[in-house]
Amino acid sequence: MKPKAVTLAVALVAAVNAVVLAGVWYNRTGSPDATVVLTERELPVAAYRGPWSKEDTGLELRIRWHRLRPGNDWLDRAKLEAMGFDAKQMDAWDNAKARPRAKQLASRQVFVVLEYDGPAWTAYLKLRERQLARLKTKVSKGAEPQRKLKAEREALKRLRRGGSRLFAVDAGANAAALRRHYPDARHYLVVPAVVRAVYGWSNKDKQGQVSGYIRRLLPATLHVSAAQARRLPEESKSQPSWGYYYGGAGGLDRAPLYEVTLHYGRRHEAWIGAIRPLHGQGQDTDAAPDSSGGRAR
Amino acid sequence: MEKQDAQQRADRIHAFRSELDLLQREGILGLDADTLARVHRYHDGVLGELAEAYDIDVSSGQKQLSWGMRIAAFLGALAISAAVFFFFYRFWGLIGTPAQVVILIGAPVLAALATAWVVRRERSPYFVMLVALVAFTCFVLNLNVLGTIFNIIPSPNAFLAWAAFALVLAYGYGLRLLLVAGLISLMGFLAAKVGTYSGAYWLSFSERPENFLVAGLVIFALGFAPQRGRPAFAGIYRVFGLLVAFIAVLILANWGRISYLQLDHDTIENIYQTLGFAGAAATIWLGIARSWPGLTNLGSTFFVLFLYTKLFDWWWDWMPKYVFFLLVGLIAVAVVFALRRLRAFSQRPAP
Repeated sequence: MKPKAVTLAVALVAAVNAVVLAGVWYNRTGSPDATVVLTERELPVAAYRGPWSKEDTGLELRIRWHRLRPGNDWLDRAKLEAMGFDAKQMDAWDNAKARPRAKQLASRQVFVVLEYDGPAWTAYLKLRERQLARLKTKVSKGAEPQRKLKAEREALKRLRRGGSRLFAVDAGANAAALRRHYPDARHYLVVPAVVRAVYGWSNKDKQGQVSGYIRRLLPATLHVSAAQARRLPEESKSQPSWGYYYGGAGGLDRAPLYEVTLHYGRRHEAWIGAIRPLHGQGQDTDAAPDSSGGRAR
Repeated sequence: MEKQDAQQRADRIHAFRSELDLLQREGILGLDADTLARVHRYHDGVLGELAEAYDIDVSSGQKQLSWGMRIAAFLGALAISAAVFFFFYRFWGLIGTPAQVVILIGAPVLAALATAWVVRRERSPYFVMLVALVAFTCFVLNLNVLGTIFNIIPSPNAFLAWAAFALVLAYGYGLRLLLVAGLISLMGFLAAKVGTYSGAYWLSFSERPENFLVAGLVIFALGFAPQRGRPAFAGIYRVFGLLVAFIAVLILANWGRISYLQLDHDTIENIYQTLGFAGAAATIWLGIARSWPGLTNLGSTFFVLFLYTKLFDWWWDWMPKYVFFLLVGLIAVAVVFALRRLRAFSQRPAP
């Protein structure tokens, strides 16, 4: 019995690892589903990866992307139903006369389309510029303090110079269908993600609305091998991106220091192809307002 | 014969000797010195053989020391597992990907081989348990870190692999701690699978306690299956499975809104409260009927827990606190009386 147990245990470890590595090989063979060249703006070094990250010598890049913005609620009820969320529960919410106790449905694993440096980024910059213009008018009339205008100008400057240009623009349960709809594999990534249906209730209007919420990408961070880590400029490793990640509209407070060729394979799992330092190439795009969706780094 | 059976035989011999001694001192039984010496010699021989073959405790002092060794070995296994985990995280960023993969796969293989080696060299189970738990940790780390290195989308199947590995070691070497590790992994896999059948993302399985209720009942049912030469494991399946199921029911009895059931939340809570009381009573009955003390204790504990949470619901807000706690105390006394009557009833000899 005893020799059999150790043989079984070793065989199990070998078999499971063989399956895992075969999956990795399958994902990376053939032509990738998408190959995009991103910069530190979209993939900053993840400084915090857990309670023991101080002792962790590994490096990961965090995918920095914009969730849905107000006025851009494409993740609506119809989309959620198409993804398989419980229509009966959503009907119950819609017909509710009072605020319901359950306000969210269990998350589902679906695919999200991330658009890089495209119309969503342009539209977002224009939106922020319009907001700034409105604020300027208010400040000139004395309705808002000057410091608020200054802060908003700084935020827009930081966004243009170092903000992520990745935007979630669509989602669905079928990755192949999404790829057919977004065939440009150099600007559109089809990424596994977790989506939740939530119900927002307005006490004032006594009614609510069903909407979707992208909880996280799978995975949210990407592993950097030891060889690739050596290609990353030291400054990018020493500047923790904690504030960048959690700072909402924030961005890097300097020009990006590197660019990354990112591939997504046949199983929609990502891997980093190459990392190139941007020695002196990281242009400070603040000088020229960039709301044209241009390819400035 | 397993170690547990050997220990029981040794305990019976000690009990026999002590009772025989008492009967002789009180003059109820008189054995001649020759017969007595023959019985003693026989028992000494049996105890020596059992101690040699199974490393059992042949005195009460040894028993106490064994408990100390068991606790020390468990804590040591946890500490060494943590050391393996942190050692890897401390240095893995400095190693190339192929070397990382080799180390990750090699670590559980080497630790499993080390377990087999320790089994051959060491009769006491403590070192075996320690090395086997380290092997399990290495395998958990193996799949976890491999997933990170290759940006693999997380899958519940990892839990199944971990469960299989732990169960192979547990059954192979009779290790209860590894059995519990295997059952925890199996519970994670089953709960995640039940969650995904409803379409939910598998890592959201903890949001619906019914996932654990089903997983717990499946593990409990496995406790009735033949145990491949480890009959003592059956009790662990049953107690672990029902513990998980009762915790799920207790949560649902208080937070009906997180249930799968599309009913009014108060109705859901009432259903699970009823189920909790009925289940706890049935567990006590099953424990007594089958002489499974673990189940009797589990059922009693949860019966009292369900009762107290219900009392809290009914009385906490409007009753003065001293009256509330007085009533809780009086109910505890009533429960003790009820259980005492039940015990007396179960001790009554069959006609």
